Amino acid sequence: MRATILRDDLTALAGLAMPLAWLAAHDGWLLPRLVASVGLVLCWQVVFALARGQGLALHGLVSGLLVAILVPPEAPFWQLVIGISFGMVLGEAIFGGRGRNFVQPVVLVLACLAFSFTDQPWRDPPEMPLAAALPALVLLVLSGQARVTVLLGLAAGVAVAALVIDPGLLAPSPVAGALLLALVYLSADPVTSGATDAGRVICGLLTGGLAVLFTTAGGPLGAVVFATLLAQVFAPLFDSMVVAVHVRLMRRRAARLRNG
Amino acid sequence: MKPALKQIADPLVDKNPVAVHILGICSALAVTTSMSTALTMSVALTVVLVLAAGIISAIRAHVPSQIRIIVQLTIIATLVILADQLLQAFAYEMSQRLTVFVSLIATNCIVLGRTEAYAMRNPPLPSMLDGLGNGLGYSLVLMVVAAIRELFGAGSLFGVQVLATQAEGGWFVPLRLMLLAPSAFIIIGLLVWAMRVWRPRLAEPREFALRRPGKEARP
Repeated sequence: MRATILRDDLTALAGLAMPLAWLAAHDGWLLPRLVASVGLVLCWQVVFALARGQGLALHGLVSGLLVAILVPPEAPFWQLVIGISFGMVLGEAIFGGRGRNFVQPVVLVLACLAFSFTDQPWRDPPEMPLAAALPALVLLVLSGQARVTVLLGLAAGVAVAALVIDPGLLAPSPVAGALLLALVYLSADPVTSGATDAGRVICGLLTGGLAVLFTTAGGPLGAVVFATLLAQVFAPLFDSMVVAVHVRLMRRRAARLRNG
Repeated sequence: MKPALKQIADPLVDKNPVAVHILGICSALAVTTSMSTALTMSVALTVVLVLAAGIISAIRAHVPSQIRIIVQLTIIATLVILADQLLQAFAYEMSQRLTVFVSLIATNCIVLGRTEAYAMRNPPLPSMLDGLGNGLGYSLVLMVVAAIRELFGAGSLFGVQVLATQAEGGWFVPLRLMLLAPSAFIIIGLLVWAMRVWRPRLAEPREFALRRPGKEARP
């Protein structure tokens, strides 16, 4: 076991405690759903850990809990099984595990479910007050698991896009907690949202702007999921652009110093 | 194995144009939502490829090297237009379902790739066999992908309902993702993965080696 469990996995789990407690009081199917999705995620991780001779980590627990929190209460389990298997295998396991993936696997799970099955409201988030998600925001930012740069970009992107499109979108809503949870855990994931600070800001801006744009056409959770998916696909490109600009600036500076 | 048989059998698995050389992906994801369109496309491409390989190989000694691509494309495009017109004349509905993709065979990398790499250097008969093998390899992948997509996306094969969908009172809920273009990419990707597990020597060497894990970078 690695020494990062205390810093990485336990803080992420602790951030989910409040949302889980809130949902448990309102949603009778939460516990079986939790057991099923966490169990399935861990199953896939054990399969790939055995096949590759790697160790196991606890972050699968966080992914499983997030899926169970963000899907509709009446979600059929067989659909969850297909979605989770798809997202966890194709989004994370085939790349060699967490840290090497380029999209957040939970985002892929939710996107797959929303694309495939139209009989469930996958694009609508569960009701959750903003206060339930605030501890997660604080914990993840303090432990560096939600990048502040991405969150700043997100806030700016959402604000600007909402002011341009429809300022009414910024009004308080009963699902704000679930959306904040999705933004903090999925959009601001340190693995998939860029590797340079400027790249992360751009990634956040794009996610926020697209999320507001997509909200005008469908459920808000679906909007956040698809915006995140698209922005994270572009994140390596942003990084590469930022690095190219940086290299050019440094070359120019070196030339200036040489010619002095 | 006889050389002629080997020429046809090789592109089916070990030198498959789609799954090993990753060519012809565009049409592979466009026409594979149902098996009937995939079959029509496969037949059209195979016929065009065989004929183009034969014709180009027959005139290969007379084609100036500087303009050989133009000459090849002219011949391929002529055959493609012929195939398209034949489809429109005798199978109008199918040609409407295939939209532009039959005419886009002209830009299919498999056709130009085989004529440029093989037919320009070999006699007509082996060239046509090579074309046939590659056409069949393309068809094989297309049919596999189309079978998966149509079965899980609509519950049918060749338009015949195999799984009773929920809309018609059955139990099967179609996976709508299967009818969207990304699913073809995913299925082809999984196919490539499976083939490289089955035949490990198809896998390319690593472009760079990962560092040996030493001490943890973080405290």
